[in-house]
Amino acid sequence: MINLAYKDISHSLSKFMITAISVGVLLGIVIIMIGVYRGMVFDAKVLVSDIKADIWVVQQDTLGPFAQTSKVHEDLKNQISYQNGIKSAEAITFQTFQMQNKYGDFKVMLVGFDPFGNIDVINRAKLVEGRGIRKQHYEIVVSQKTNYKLGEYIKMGRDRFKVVGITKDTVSNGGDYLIFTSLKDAEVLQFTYTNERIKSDDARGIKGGNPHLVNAIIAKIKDGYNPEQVARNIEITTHKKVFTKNEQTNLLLEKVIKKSSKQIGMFTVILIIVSIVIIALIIYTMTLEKIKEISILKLIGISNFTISKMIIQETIVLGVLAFISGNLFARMIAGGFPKRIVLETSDAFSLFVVILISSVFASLFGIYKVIKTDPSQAIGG
Amino acid sequence: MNENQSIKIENLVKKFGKGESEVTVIDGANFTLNKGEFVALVAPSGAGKTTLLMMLGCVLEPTSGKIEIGDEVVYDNKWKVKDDRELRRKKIGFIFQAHYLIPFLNIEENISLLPYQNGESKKVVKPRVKELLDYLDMSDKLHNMPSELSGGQNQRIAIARALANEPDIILADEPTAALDRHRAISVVKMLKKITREQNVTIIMVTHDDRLLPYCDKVLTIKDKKIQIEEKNNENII
Repeated sequence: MINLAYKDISHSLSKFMITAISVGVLLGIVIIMIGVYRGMVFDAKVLVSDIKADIWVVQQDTLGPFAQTSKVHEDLKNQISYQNGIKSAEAITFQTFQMQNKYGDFKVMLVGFDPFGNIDVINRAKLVEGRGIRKQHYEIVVSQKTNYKLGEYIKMGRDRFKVVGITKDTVSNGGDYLIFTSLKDAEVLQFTYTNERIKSDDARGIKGGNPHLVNAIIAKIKDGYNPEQVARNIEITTHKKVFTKNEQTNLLLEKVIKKSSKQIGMFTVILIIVSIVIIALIIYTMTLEKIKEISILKLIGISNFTISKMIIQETIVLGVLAFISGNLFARMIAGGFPKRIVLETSDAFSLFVVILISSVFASLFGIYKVIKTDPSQAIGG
Repeated sequence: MNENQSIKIENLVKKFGKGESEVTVIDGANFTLNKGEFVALVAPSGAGKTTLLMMLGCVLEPTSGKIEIGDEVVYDNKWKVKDDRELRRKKIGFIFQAHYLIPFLNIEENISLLPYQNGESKKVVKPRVKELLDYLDMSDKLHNMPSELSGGQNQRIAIARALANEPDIILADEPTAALDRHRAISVVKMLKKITREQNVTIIMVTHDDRLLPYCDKVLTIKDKKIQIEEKNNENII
C-alpha cells in the first residue's frame, strides 16, 4: 500500500519543513520558558546549597536573611558556638550591589564571610580559576559572568579589591551573580558612610562607626545531632529565629520565588495551549489545501480510514519535527539569556508526549473535515 | 436478468428541496446499458447530467427508483449496498473534466492506489499498471509526476486509473472539455477502443456534438425524461 502521508510530505518537503520549523520555534520558546522556571528554582537553592551550613540563625520574628531582612550582632556567633550540638558557627552578610564595568551594568550579591572560619561559603567545585580568599582585606572572588579577570582590581566603596578567584554558576536566589569578600571588608562596605554622612550624623548626635551587625549566623552541627532539634533549642535559649538548611531552602522556594515561578508556569501553560491551537490550525489548513484531492480520493473509493491515516501521520511527523527543531532552537539560544536556563531531558520528553497527544487531538479537526467532505465536489469541475 | 447487462435503471426519480421549493430534476428514467457500450450523456447545462452521473456513481441518493450495476441491485428505493465506497472501488471508474490526478503521487502510484486499496498485492498490481500504460502508449511515464505531463497525457493517465480496478462501468464527466478538438477526438477514440477491448461500459457526459458519432448510444435528458438513441457507428474508429 502506498503511504500517502510520506508521498505528500516528500512532494512538498520544503514547505512542510518550514512549517515544522516554525512550529518548532514556538515550541522552543515553550522549552525555554520551562527552562527559565527550572532555572529559577535551581538558582533559589544554589546559595543555600553551596554554603556548607546546617542551620541559619537570624533575627527573631523574621524569615531572614533572604525572604526578609535580618540583622544580628556578629558576636552572636560566639554564643551559638557554645550551644549543645554545635560544631562551629560563623557570621555572614549579604548585600546587593549594582556594579558597572566595560562589559555593562549588572547586579551582584556580595557575600561577606570569615575566610579563616570553619564553614565553607565558596563551593570549591565551582572555583574555576585562582583561589579562595586568604586575607582579611582587599581580596575578592567574583562570578565568571561579571567578566572580571584574575588579578584585575575592582573599586568598591573607598577601597580597591584584587580578583583572586573566579567562580562559575554561583548566583543568589534572585539569579544575581555572587561576589565574595572577607566579613571585615563586607562590614566596611555596608556600614562605612561618606564624610558628609558622618558629619551630618555627628551634628545630630548620632555616633557612627561599625556596629558589627551581620545578616545571619551559620553553623555546623556535630555528628549524631538532629539539626531540627538543635535549631529549636537555640531558638529557646537565644531568642533568635533558627532555620535548618531544608527549612531555609523551602523558605526560598515558598516565599521568595513562588509567585514568579507560578507566573512563569502559567505563561508556559498558555504558550503550550497556543502551540496546540496553532498546530491544529496548521493541520486544518493543510487538510483544506488538499480538499479537492480528498474529494477525488473519496469519490474513487478510497476509505476515510486511509485518508484520515494520512492526516494523522502527517500531524505526528509535523509534531516530531517541530519538537526536534524546537529543542535544537532552545539549546542554541539558551546560553544567551542573562539568567540561568535549565533544560532538563525529562521536561523535554514530557513536552514531547504532550505535543504528540495534542497533535493527534489537533488532527481530529482535519479528520472531521475529511469525513465531512462531499465526494461529489470532484464531479462537475 | 440479461447476462450482458451493465447498468439497468428503472423509474429513477431525483427531486431536490421540499414543499414549494421542490424541484424535480430526473423524473422516471428507464434505460439499460450493456457491457462494452460507449454511451454519451447529453443535455443542456442544468438539465441534470451531473445529478444522473452522481446517482449512477452511488454518490447522490435518488428520491426513488432502482439502479442495478452488473448483477447487483445497488438501489431500490433505498441503498442496498452497505459501503458505497467499496462498490465504487470495485465496480466503477471515474474520469473527470480535468485529470484530477493526485499531485503528490507519481503516475504509477496514481494508477495503483485503488487496486492496493482493494487489497491486491504488488505482484498483481505492478504488471497491471505496466500493461495499462503500454495499452495507452504511456509506458515511459511510469515514474513521472502529473505536473511533468501535458493535459492530454494526464487525461490518459486518468483513464488508466479509471481502468485499474477493472470496473464494470466508467463514468466520464466531460473528459474532453479541457482538450482541443484533435486531442478530444483522440481521447474519445481511445475510450471507444477500451469499451470494446476491456468489455467495460463508459458513460460520457459531453456538450460536444462532434463526439456523438463515436458513441453506441446517446442518452439525452429532455424535460426531466431520458431519451435513448442508438447509433450505428461500428465503422467509425
